[in-house]
Amino acid sequence: MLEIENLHVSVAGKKILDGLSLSVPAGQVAAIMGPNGSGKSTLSYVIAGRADYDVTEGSIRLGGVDLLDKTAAERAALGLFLVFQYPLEIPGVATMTFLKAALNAQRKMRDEAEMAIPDFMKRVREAAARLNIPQDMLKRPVNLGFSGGEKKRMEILQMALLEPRFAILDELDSGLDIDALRICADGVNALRSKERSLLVITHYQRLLDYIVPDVVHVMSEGKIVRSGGPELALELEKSGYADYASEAA
Amino acid sequence: MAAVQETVDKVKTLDVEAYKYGFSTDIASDKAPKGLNEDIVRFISAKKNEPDWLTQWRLDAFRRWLTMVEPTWARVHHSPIDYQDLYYYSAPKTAEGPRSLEDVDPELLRVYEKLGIPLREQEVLAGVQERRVAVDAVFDSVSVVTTFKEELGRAGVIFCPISEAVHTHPELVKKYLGSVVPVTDNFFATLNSAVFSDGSFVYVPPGVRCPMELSTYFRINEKNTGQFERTLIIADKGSYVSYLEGCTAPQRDENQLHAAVVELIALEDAEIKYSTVQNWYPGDAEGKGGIFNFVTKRGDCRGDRSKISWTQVETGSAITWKYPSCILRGESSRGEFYSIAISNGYQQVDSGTKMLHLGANTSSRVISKGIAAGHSQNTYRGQISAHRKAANARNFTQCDSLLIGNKCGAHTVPYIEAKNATATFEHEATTSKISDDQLFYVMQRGLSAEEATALIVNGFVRDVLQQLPMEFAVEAQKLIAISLEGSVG
Amino acid sequence: MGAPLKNPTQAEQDFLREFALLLDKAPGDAAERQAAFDRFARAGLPSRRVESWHYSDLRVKLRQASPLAEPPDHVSLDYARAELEKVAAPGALKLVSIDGFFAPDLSDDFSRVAGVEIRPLAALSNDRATLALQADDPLLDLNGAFSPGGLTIEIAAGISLEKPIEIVALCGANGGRSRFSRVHVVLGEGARASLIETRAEGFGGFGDSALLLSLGKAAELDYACRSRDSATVDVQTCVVSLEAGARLCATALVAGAAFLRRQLFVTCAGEKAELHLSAASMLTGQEHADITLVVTHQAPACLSRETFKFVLAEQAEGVFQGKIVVPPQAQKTDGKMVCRGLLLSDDASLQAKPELEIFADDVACGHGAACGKLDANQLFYMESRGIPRPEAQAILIQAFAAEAFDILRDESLRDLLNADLAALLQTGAFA
Repeated sequence: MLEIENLHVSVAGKKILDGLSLSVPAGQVAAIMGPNGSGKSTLSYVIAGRADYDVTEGSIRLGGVDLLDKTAAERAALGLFLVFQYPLEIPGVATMTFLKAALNAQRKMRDEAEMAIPDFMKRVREAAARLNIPQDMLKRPVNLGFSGGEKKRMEILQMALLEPRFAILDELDSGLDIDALRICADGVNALRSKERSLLVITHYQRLLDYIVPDVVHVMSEGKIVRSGGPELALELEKSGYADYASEAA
Repeated sequence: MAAVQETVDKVKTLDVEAYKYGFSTDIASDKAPKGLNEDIVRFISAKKNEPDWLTQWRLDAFRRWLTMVEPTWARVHHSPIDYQDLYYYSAPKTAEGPRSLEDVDPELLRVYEKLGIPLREQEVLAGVQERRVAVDAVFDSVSVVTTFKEELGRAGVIFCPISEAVHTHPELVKKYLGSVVPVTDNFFATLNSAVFSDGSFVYVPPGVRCPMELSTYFRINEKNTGQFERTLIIADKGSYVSYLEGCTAPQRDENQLHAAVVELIALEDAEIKYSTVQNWYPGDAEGKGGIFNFVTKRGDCRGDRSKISWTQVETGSAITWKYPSCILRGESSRGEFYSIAISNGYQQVDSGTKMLHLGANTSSRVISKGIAAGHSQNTYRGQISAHRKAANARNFTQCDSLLIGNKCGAHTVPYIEAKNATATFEHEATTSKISDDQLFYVMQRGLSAEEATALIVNGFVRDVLQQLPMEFAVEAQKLIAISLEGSVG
Repeated sequence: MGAPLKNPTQAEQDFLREFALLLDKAPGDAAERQAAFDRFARAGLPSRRVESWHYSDLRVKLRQASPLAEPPDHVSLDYARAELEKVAAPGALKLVSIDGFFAPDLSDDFSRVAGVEIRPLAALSNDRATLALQADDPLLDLNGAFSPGGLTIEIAAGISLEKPIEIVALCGANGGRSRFSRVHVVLGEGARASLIETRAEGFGGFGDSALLLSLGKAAELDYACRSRDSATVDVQTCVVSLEAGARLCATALVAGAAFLRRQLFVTCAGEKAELHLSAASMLTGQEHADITLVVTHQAPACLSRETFKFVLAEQAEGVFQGKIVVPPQAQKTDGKMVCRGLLLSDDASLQAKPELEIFADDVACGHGAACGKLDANQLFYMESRGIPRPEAQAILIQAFAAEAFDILRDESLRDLLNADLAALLQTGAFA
């Protein structure tokens, strides 16, 4: 589903990703672990198409389609979804309005009809109930004044609603207590399917107790330095990342 | 949000210079010769068959005007206006003054249809629109038709062209005309007093809640024509009226002058809500042409507990110079000003309000949202003052500016004058841009850069949009996106 | 003679006459002085019709200009010496002037202070050249025309001064004259210093002083002005230029003013300069103080914070005009300006005009203005805890005004201003 080959990326002249290759087949849940500064967040932003990143070499393909010449919106319409580490606040724009605009923009780009309002409302309400999101939160402006946990739940709600085929979870666990983490993880697990792949980016093994990955990749200094099964995460938890710095060098 | 989608569709159907209302209509018109002198003033007055007092009133204004100079304090620049090179009176030729829709030139009706303004009552009554709006349509200088007069009449509400009110309700016109904006007020208001041709007159009797929204649509059609309408609204004790005003003009290479005067009077416990969606032709992408919009709007909260609320969405005009104001004379009276001013291309906006607190326990609220894009300059200028007797006066002002691109300017010039220890004034202003992170976040959810900008801008102006009557809010939302078109790189 | 004055007022005619008498004997470049006077003459004394002087009509206020002050004689010197005892800040290195004339006898000896050089400010062209002077102001020009020399205080690159320098402006025994003074403080790259400016009672007449501050790269200056003059029509101009990474923290306590215009023109000329400006103006009776500020962010990524407080009793008038200008190149500007007024009487008034003029899109700028009276709930709360009302009021006023001094890094300066403020409140003028 996602194929990254020899990806080189720099930001303001500084090299962040250095020949990274990664393949995530359909239905797989892949975890990327790595120390701070290894380029994990850069990877998620580059896949999602944020500006200010210079891709000097390599390719990113989703379902065979080259993503690099696509805008962030086009990538979203292709089924790519990024759970932001720090979701943005948008004053004045009601969450409902935002959700509807996003959903219909994507449907339109895929030549699908707009969703009828009652159907839309029903879907949002159901998803919100599953994630323990009170209805009045949906009336408030997007993420404005939400707690860290509320923001993350709102991200998962959007994911449930937009039904991406490939989702990147960038440090889902940051800023979450155990209860909030469980709710979010349950929300994510409910979305696991044969057609949908997940890329779970995290610093800590903790998250992977709740979202159990099929494979674990270790990232260091801008590339994948080791891959293995879920047991690799436990190993890292014991030994730390120190060993990998030299491997990459 | 359907409106955003609709907006975006609309934007896409336009190219950069396409101004939706930029068609001109071929209708025979009856014009006074170019230029301005006492004879022209008399000619206008005679055309309207005005009583002598009004002719004299106009002539007084004209003589005053000769001694005045154009104000220069606003942050706007334009080539000098040749006041002798304008037509001061232009009326569709059929007009003796239409008495009903049947008398109106069908071509004119088509114009208003194109503008999306229903004039035919039967259409409205047939349920084309859910809410009923009585419309006074002003074409160049003359009111062409006023709908729903009869039904309003049953409630005792007078809604008619001011030229008609001069004859049918001379005592009201004489009492209130110029009582809020005096003849000598300022250069443009004085000019208007001399040459105003028509506009709307509204009187709501004591205790009456006007049964429907009142609305005037202004359109400048003729070339080289100044439009000088005059609106006078009186809400008698305990009454309520909501009035909407919309403006359009065809595309012209030359600048056209629009110098209107609006006077509002609210007596005890009365409330007036005045909303404007101004979309005069802004000029082309190089800044050529467009309307000079020099308008004096002022409300007088004359009675205790009266309330006047101004809401404006300013997207058009090459230059906008207007400061809808409230004189808070009555005790516990309240003034409000809600504004969205969007400038793009080479537009210049210098707009804001004045809240003059004269009476005790008066309060006011000012919310201004300025959005500058392209090469435009967007200035908020507002004065809040509390006089000695204005015990416990309160004001809250918030003015926020948003810059889109790096060739435009956003400026904030508030004047806060407190002469009373019990007055409480609060003023907040911010200037910012749409953050790249915000844009990226919205685009990651599937919206294009243009859609994302429209969405965020709509969020930015939401506080003000909510103040508009429903029909206008939708129209305003579309206008915002159209006005910002081409501003996202 | 250059540009003629149009319909000159009595005061303008006085200046013209005095200038003709002065020109031959004044130090420095006569042509420079003439040019400065001509610029003044073209503008004239500003009236309310000049937008930036709208609330302080100097043309009306200054009916006539008193004769120029002469260099101090022995009587003046003795008088000033006694005065100095009363007003000088403890522990500072003093530079004293009397009626604008430097008084070395009363000043500390700077020859042994390493890294500091005191020189006469002979040629006015020097400060024009060293400062990115953005100030186009008739009173600064008038100062340039009349100023008797003046001083340059130069603090060498890399020097950190232990003691604050205090500029003490005293008045001679013959009060009521027209007094002009000019001081230029230059901080070299990375220099650090604290500056106190103490302006004593002037007994009427007219004052027009200029303080020029040039901060080199990464230089840091704390500056506290103490102004108290209940009789003089006084104009204080401060022109500041900040090089890259420089930081200025400047505050003022205006503890009385007959008719004061204190104007600051600041240019952030280098990237990432940091500016903290504030003042507390405590006015009563029929006093009038106008604080006018123009901060121009010429370079990108500069930060400015402005906090201006007014406490107004009886018929006092406070005026605040603050303008933040951000030209297109000054991206990443961060500017916030706040003006707050406390009106203690129904006859007091505050006029505030905080402006933003912004041409760059990637900026975060804002301003706020608020005025009102003392919070009744707070007063009541304190009274209910047993604090008598006047004391409670003084505590609240002190807290309100002293916030302006928080921007200072040098605690000794903060303590000095807080002590001044407490002493002022103890007089009961604001009870």
